[in-house]
Amino acid sequence: MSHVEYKDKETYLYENAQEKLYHVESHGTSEIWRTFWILTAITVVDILLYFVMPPSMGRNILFIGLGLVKAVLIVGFFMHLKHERTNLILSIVVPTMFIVFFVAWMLYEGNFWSTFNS
Amino acid sequence: MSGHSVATANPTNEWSGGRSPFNVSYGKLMMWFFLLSDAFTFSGLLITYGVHRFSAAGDTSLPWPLPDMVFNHFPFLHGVHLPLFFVSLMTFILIFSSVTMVLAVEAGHRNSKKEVARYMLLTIIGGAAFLGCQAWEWAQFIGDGATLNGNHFALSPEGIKKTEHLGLFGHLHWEVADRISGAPTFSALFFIVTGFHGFHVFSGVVLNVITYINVLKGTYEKRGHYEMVEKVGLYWHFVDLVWVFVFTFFYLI
Repeated sequence: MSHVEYKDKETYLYENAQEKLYHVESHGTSEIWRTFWILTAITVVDILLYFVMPPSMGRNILFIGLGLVKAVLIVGFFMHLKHERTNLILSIVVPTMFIVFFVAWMLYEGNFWSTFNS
Repeated sequence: MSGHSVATANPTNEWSGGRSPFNVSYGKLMMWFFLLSDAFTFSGLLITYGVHRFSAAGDTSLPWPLPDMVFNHFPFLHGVHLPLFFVSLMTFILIFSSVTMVLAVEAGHRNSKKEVARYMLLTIIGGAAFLGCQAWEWAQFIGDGATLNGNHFALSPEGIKKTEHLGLFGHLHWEVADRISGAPTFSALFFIVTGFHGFHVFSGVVLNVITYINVLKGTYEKRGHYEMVEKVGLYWHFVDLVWVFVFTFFYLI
């Protein structure tokens, strides 16, 4: 490493020794593998439901519910968000409420358009 | 306030500089916000798909094709009715490459260069395998006659009769009279959404390759931390996350 002069302590911390700003600890691999097996099991349940249950709105809701569970597992454990600080978790999770709003709005609109088509 | 909170940081000091209030670096925080915006983009696309499909429910002139009867191919098993099989394989490939990615991140926390490199390589192989599968899936779809503005995957009364007693592993051969034009948005949204996701996978693989080369070169070892692996890892898991919903809306429902 060449010798770089830093203007202040903050610049030095942000550009070099980031471990002094924050620290990460290894939680081991057991949680990773547990999440993997749960994700695999949910996907297998998805596939079984697809072949066993006849198509219905109830089945669709079940698929979306299982998809959301998988999403929470991926974001929480694989992306490590569950172990982050609460203010970071809220900064990411709260804005996704816009998606919920958009889904509700578009279900209403889609219902209206379907009366045009039929 | 009780006297016990001596050890915990003063909230005013947290935001006055010199430390990260979120306990993450700038780069990681910005990756999170980028992914949030990307989540909005993908939900916009998926909700558009949902609206078109929902509103096409009563459409008899250009009906919505049954995904069951469109995505039922498997390599080397031509003409055999196998819905969901190939796409399930793709899902497992992507879940597994997510696991190897998170194992690389975990190895990075322990500064184990050899393990990071090994898991990064496995992740790249998984991503490339997924891309290959998606290329094959597109080739089948296009070969069947799908275009960006039209398809003929909806079933005529003859076609419906043909599929009535069709079981798994049943043999399927379409005559021209079996299929009629389906809703154009069926193929358009398939190409746009899976294409956009596939492009994300592709850029993820490129980022993974760059990071892998840097791991081998010892760039992060010199730097003292493997945070870059974490940042591309976040992106990679997001790609997996989007696939969960593409899988649900395009193939399961």
